[in-house]
Amino acid sequence: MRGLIYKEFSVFYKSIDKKRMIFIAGIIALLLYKVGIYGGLLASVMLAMSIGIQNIMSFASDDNAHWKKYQMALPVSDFSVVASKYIAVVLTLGISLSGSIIFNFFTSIIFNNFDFTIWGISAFAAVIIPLIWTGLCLPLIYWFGIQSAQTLGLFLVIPIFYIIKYFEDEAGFSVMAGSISSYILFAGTVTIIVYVISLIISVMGYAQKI
Amino acid sequence: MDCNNILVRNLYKKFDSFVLDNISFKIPKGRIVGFIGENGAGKSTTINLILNEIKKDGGEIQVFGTDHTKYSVKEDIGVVFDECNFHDVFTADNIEKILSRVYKSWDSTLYHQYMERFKLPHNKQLGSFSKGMKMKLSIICAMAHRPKLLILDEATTGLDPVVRDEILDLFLEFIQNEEHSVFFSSHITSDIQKIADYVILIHKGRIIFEEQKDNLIYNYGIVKCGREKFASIDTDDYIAHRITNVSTECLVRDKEAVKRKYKDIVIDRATLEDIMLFYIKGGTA
Repeated sequence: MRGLIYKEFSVFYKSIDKKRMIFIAGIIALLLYKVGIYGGLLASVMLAMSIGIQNIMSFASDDNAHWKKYQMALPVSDFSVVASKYIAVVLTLGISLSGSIIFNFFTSIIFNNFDFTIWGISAFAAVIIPLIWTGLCLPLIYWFGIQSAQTLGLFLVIPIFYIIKYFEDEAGFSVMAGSISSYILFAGTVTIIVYVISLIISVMGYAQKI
Repeated sequence: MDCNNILVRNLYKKFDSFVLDNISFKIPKGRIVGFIGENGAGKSTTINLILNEIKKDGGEIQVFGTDHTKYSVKEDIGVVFDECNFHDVFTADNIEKILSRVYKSWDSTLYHQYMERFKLPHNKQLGSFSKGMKMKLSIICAMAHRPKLLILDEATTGLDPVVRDEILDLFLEFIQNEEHSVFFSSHITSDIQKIADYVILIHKGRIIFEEQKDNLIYNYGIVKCGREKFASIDTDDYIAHRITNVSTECLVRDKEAVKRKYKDIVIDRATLEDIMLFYIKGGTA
């Protein structure tokens, strides 16, 4: 399975589109500059979304290379094949989390406001967004093909922008901050459950043979 | 001890518009077996069934004497498809890192020897490789874990004669070990004729023959004669015939016997391509 994890992570890294990265970097810079003390949080959400999308793009490149046909001839189990993708997604959380720390560090310096609740929420968003994104898209890929996942990805952008709007509203954030630990616990538990169920459904989808 | 690396018995697979109809054949150890047939005859379906990429509807497939669905058998199989299945963003070194962690018996030294021999660059992205370079890399990857069985599905299609020749030589070297086998499907019958020991012809999902290549090449022949002479040839003496504008041609299984029986007829040697075309397109006796 180590070989496949290396393959998944390498495809993720090597298939990053430079133009898209420049565009995302521009938006993140704008968020850091414009949104005040929540700039780091929103930039973290933006980066986490980009990582979720990039994961789906790298899975699409398997289709282009007809990799599945080759992979099925390798001495690896169906579970290992699918699990390697899920593990590779977890590895990309390192990038998302590092970005979150850097963005919040800059925001805190610029606005002289070291609010570690915002840091915590940012880090949490950096972890759960890519997990939820791929957790919902991967079963679709294995059962219905890459196009269904790309379509779902478009719809996933909508609730995330709603969340961004929610955080932009300072009153909303202050109400939420009071019970933040229960929100995080709930969302974290749901994410783990979704991810595990997603893995099981994906293995069943991959194991299907005509 | 099993003397076959692959044994297929009454293999059956039904699709909406195609049936692989109870085919049986074997791939003996120490032999190269060519698998020929027109497009859509069932070659790739058969290979996909052997590799358990699709599910069989009936019959039995054994690889190395054990059930083909076991993952462990794939450790000893090298597979090359008709196109390179590696991502264009990878380099040959990336591919080695992936496969060396997949195959327990991966031999990095052998991989690098083959890379040197075929003059393939280590650090160039595969997107910049020619088709020939990509196929060479696919074949190197199929052989670098020291498999006992190579399965090649149209692996030489679309390659120039020089590259094909290099690759065929590699298969001949591989087969020097008598435990090894090559199962090689191709449209290019000259490649099969050059290296195969046995030939299997599949047509419309059925095995037409499974014969030693030398028997096909040295014993089969093509009788060329006029229509009157053709009428005098016993239908039991030929397999198939075709009528051209100038003459009638028929494929015979034993050209020496036919030569003895019909004194004044011309018999040419039959190439594998001739034999395949007669079976597929020729009017039957």
